[in-house]
Amino acid sequence: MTKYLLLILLITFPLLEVGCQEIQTHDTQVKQVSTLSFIKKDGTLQSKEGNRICLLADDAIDYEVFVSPDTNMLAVETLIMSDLQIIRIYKKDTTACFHPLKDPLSTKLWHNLSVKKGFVVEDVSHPRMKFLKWTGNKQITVELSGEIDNQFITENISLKF
Amino acid sequence: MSKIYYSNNLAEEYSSLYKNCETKASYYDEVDALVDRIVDHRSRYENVGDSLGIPWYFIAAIHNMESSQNFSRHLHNGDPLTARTKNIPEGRPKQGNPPFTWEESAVDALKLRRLHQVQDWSLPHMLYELEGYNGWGYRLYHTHVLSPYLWSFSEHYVSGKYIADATWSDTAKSRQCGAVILIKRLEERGEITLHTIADPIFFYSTHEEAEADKLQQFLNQFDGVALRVDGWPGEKTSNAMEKLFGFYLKDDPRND
Repeated sequence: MTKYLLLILLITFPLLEVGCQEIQTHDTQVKQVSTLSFIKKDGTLQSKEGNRICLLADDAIDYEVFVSPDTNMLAVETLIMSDLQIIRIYKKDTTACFHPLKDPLSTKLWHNLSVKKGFVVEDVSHPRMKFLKWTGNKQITVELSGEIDNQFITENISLKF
Repeated sequence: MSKIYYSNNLAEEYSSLYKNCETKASYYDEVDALVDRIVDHRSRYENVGDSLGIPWYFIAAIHNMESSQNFSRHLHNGDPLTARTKNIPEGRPKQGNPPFTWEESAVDALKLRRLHQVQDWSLPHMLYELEGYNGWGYRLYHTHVLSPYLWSFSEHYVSGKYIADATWSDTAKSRQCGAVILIKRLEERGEITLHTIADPIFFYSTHEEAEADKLQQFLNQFDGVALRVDGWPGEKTSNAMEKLFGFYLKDDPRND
């Protein structure tokens, strides 16, 4: 019995956390996590679960999706411009679609960091928010980085929703 | 993000903006310093560009925009070459092992964007590719501002940009030199010749004159000439004519 459970864990863990299957075609990328999959095409990001397809975003160059352990939330790295990357958090609703949180994570984190470090958010060039890990079903760690007056800044921040 | 498709109207817009693009005088020294560094590394850009059929100055402009001409960073996104990229696009290059050479990374970045498949490297189409490389957010959602990725430091751009949290600010101002300004200065200094430059027109004037900028661009193609392309065909422009062709501009008082 124990061996059987270990075997199940070994098979499912990489699918959920690490080895998300990626299929690359000409213009479309599909990233699959369990029965939930994500489609990147022509600057849009869609989720697909069963027959239900939902549009998550259509305003960026590229996306990377990181699913929470319970699969109810998403952290989506979003490349708005080639020199501007943020993370958006999405929550699953009753229709099995994901919607972004009302208060953007990026605004809150950059504002807090600017107060802590004493800079103006507008002065940051090449700003990037990098997803590091889910530390619970509603808690993530991210990295903020950028340049101010040719000085490189980087900060890891944990946040609970 | 929806893609903007190339059209005749867009080509005319880029050509017109380029023709009328003037660098703000307060940035002259900074632009020249950036161009000096680009010229110093021309052979590295050429090595990558020649293998992919991409103009070296296009690669240089992107290198400046994405990683401040730093050869220890990935062209994709400015991440260090000591590892695969960690920001989007993540895990590049997929082939080979870190540390990567800048050239390996640059080839991967340009191929990923399919720029090696581009056939038309005329001026307007090159500016289209540059704007697309950065993303169409300005053109799609903030039409009152020309993209600073192309036009910052020129008279075409005053303020307005996306800030770190991806919100829009009408008052925020890009501190980075736009890609077009670098290309235009390279052309002024005779380092490159672009397709849309017409034949020169010969005259002398102490005022700005239509088409005179084309003459200055033409003269800048020769060694030892680096005129400021300001449309004033005055003494310096006339001197360059005399140096190259043995006579001053028509109507130059020194011809009397």
